[in-house]
This record gives sequence, structure tokens and C-alpha cells, in this order.
Amino acid sequence: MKPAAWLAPIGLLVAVMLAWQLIVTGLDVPKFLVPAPTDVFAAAVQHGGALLTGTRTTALESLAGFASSAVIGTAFAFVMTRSRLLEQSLVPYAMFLQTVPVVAVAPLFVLWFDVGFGSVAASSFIVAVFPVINAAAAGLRAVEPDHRALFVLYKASRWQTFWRLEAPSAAPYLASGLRSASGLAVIGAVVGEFVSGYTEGNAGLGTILLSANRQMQTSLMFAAVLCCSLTGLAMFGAVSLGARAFLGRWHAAAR
Amino acid sequence: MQALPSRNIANGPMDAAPHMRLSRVSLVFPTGTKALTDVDLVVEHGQFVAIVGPSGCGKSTLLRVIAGLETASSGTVDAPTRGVAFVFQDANLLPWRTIRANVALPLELAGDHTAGARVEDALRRVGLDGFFDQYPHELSGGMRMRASLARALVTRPRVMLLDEPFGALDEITRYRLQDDLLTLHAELGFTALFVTHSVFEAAYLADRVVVMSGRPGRVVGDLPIHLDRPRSASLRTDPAFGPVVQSVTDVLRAELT
Ligand SMILES: Nc1ncnc2c1ncn2[C@@H]1O[C@H](COP(=O)(O)OP(=O)(O)OP(=O)(O)O)[C@@H](O)[C@H]1O
Ligand SMILES: [Mg+2]
Repeated sequence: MKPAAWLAPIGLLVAVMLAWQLIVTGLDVPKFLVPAPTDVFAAAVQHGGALLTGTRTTALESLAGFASSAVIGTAFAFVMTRSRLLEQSLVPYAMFLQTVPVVAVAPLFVLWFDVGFGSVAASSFIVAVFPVINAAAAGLRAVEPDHRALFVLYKASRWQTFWRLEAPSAAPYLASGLRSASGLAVIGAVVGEFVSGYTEGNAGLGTILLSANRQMQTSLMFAAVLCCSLTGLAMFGAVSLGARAFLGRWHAAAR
Repeated sequence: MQALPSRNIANGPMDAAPHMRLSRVSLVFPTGTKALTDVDLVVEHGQFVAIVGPSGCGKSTLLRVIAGLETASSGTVDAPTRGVAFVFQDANLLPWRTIRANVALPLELAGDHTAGARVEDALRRVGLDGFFDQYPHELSGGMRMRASLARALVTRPRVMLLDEPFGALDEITRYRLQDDLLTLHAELGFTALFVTHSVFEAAYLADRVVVMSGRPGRVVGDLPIHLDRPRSASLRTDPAFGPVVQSVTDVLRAELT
């Protein structure tokens, strides 16, 4: 990367922080409405332990939601694309499930998985799984007709055709689906915690956000939001790097 | 009365019998497009046949029918079902495989995983020494087409079906590949069906030029090319070459108007 590529956004960040600080202190905005960057920093230091534990909890929940959405979403797309009939039967239900809001079903997950990790991971899964299904199904359908002709010509078996043609054709699509899913998994986990996160020892970021909100600790809320974003960014970055490594030298040419 | 579509298996050279025989082959796509009507074509072992015709007349469809990738609506197709290779217009390599792995694919699909030497031999034959581990997007169009030829040759096919393989290449590269294809044909003795838009290319390469009508495609001309083999680059400027090209052009023009 050229220096300008990372210097510019950092410069902008510094400028915005400065302006923010000056405006908030200059206009004497109450701390519980909009805290200054220094207040947020102070809150982050003061609640450092809780925020770290919260980040770990939420990250683990998101990871579980992401991993299960990657596996189950890909498997679902695979089954869906095996035949025209299967696809026509499954697509409406996939669409229907996609329109069910997480906040509405999260209480159900509490019934099924109890409060805590299981139900939060389930919320994360529900939000992350559809981009995976969509991308994997689009990828599996996107095989070049002439590539397929080659496999027909050489009398490849279904299995050979899947592993040597359909799976690699779908890989770049799946990679972009997984990238979207990684960010969404964190959002799903935080929403899940609003409904069913645990309150004792290892509260997640969503739980911290909620209790800080009740106590008007706005600075802590800002710090927790920042931790959510960083967790999402880290997941997105890791998935992007993983996908790039997996697609290898071919990624330059892949969509 | 129309014959029911059928496909007879004619594997292995039986010297007397032709290598392939199409009788009254017609094809209507599900969309209603009539791509071929009553195509008759007999090709002898080792013959190099060029197919020319206006765009959209069914040349690719004809090759796909012969390859078994498309089924005729009526008529009979007597063609080998094994030992057939197809070369597509754009090299049609798998972008996620190296050149070596692309060329190895047909052997792999046949369950032959110990074919490294044959793969390298095929790549050397087409002049791709030293590019074994590159990816397709890292090569020029001409080199990709060479890799595509190597992939076709690696199974030692008896029939090569080539669908405008050099159409997208610049003139110098095309000339070079034409000459290499002639050398390979002379060495390996496969039967070749070569679709092209270029009358010049057809006359230079082929023993016979088959001219197809506009859609739905029929065979409207079948001209033997009486030029000695081996043919080489000097033929392109030989005084004897012009009239041959002219005779093919005349038949094609009569069809186009
Ligand atoms: N799968 C298909 N379904 C419906 N119509 C098709 C299909 N494939 C080809 N056609 C039509 O059949 C006709 C013949 O197509 P074909 O590709 O064989 O022509 P061609 O002679 O190879 O043309 P070109 O010189 O442009 O490559 C065209 O009108 C084409 O639109
Ligand atoms: Mg064509």
C-alpha cells in the first residue's frame, strides 16, 4: 500500500476527533447526550476489563454463528441446486425465513437454547446464513456452459464434476458471501444479546450496551459500540485474508 | 419420412469405413430455432475438413452434435464417442488451474493420475515449455490457445473438433498456430473438423472445405483442396493459392447473396 492509502484516512480520523472534541467542549454539550472523545477514552479505560471480556464473549458468539452459517448455508445451497424441483420447492421458504426479523425470533431461541451462548449464536446464525445461501447458490449456478461441456465430453462423473468444476466455480461467490456474513454475524450476536445475553460474569458487548444505556453511561455505550465495530472489522478482515489465501494466485482473475 | 434420431457407435479405425457419417441430420432447439436441416457429411480417417458458412448458420451446433454435446432432432450420426477432443473458440481453460493442471484434466477425469510425462510432452509439442505452472490469466491469448490444444491432444484423440480456435488471435499468432496445427496433424494423423470464418484459413489448412448455407444450416458446397502437403508459410503467397481461395469464396458468396 502507498503511504497515502493509510495516511489519508488516519489524518481524517484525527481531524474529525479534534473537531468533535472542540465542538462538544466548546458548546458544553451534556456528557450523557454526546460524550467527547476523551470521555469515551476514559470510560474505555475505566471499564477496560468488562469491555475486554464482553468483546471476547461477543466474538465467540459471532464466530459460532458465522461458522454454522458458513457450513449450513453452503450445504443448503448445495442441496437447493441439485435439481430444478428442489430449488423451486426451497426458494420460497428461504425467502420467507429471510424476512423474519431476528428481534422477533430471538425470544424463541431463548426457549430452545436457554439464555446465553446458544441462543445468541442462533441469532447470529439466522442473520448471517442468507448471504451465504444466496452467494453459494449463485456460484453453483454460475458454471460456464463451455466448462461444463468439457466435463460432459470427457464423461466426468457427478462427483468429479462437483469437485473439479462446480465447487471451484462457486468459490469466489462463496468468498464474497462469507465476507458479508462475517460482519452480519456480529450484528446478529449483539441483537441476540439484547434479548437473551447473560448478565453475570461474562456479559457480551450487547449486554454491556443495554445496561450502560439504562444507566445513562453514554461514554461507555460509545466505547462498547467501538468494540462491536472492531470485532466486526476483525472478523471481516480475517475472512477476507482467508478467502484470498484459499483462492490463491487465481484470486487476481476471480470475480 | 424422417428417420428417428439415432447414434451409432463407430470406435476404432476400420480402414474401409469412413470415420464419421452424418445422414439427414436436423436439429431444432427447444426455443424453436432451426439450427440444422438435413445435413449430410462423410469424413474419412485422417482427413482435415474445414467448415465455413455465414454467422449463426449452425457450425458450432454441428460440431456439438458430432461431439455428443447436443442431440439431433432427427437423422443419424455415426461418429466415435471416444477419443474425441474439442477445442473451443476462447481457450476455455479453467481459471483456477495452472496450465499443467488444465492439460492434465482429461487424464484425471479418466482416472489416470500418473500422467505427468504425457502432460509435459503435450505442452512441449505446442511450444509451451516453461509455462507449466502459470495460471491462464497470466498468459497471452495465443499461449492460452496453445494450452487448449495441448489439453485436446493429451488424450491422443482420433478426432479433433475445432470451433474457430484462432478467431480471436492476431494475424501473426494465427499463422504460427495454423502451421503448428498442420505439423501436429501430419505427425499424429487425427481426423480434424475445423470451423472458421476465414476462407483463407480454410483453404490453407484443409483437404476439403465444406460450405454451409445460412440458417437453418445445410451443406451447400464441398470443395476438395488440391494443394500438396506438407504445406508451409510460403504457400500463403504462392500464385497457386489465390485461385483456390477464390473458388471457395465464390461458393460462399453465392450462398450469402
Ligand atoms: N442452446 C441454444 N438454444 C437455442 N438456440 C441456440 C442454442 N445454441 C445456438 N442456438 C441458435 O442456433 C443457431 C446456430 O447457432 P450456432 O452457434 O451453431 O451458429 P454458428 O454457425 O456457430 O455461428 P457463429 O459463426 O456466429 O459462431 C443460432 O441462431 C443460435 O442463436
Ligand atoms: Mg459458432
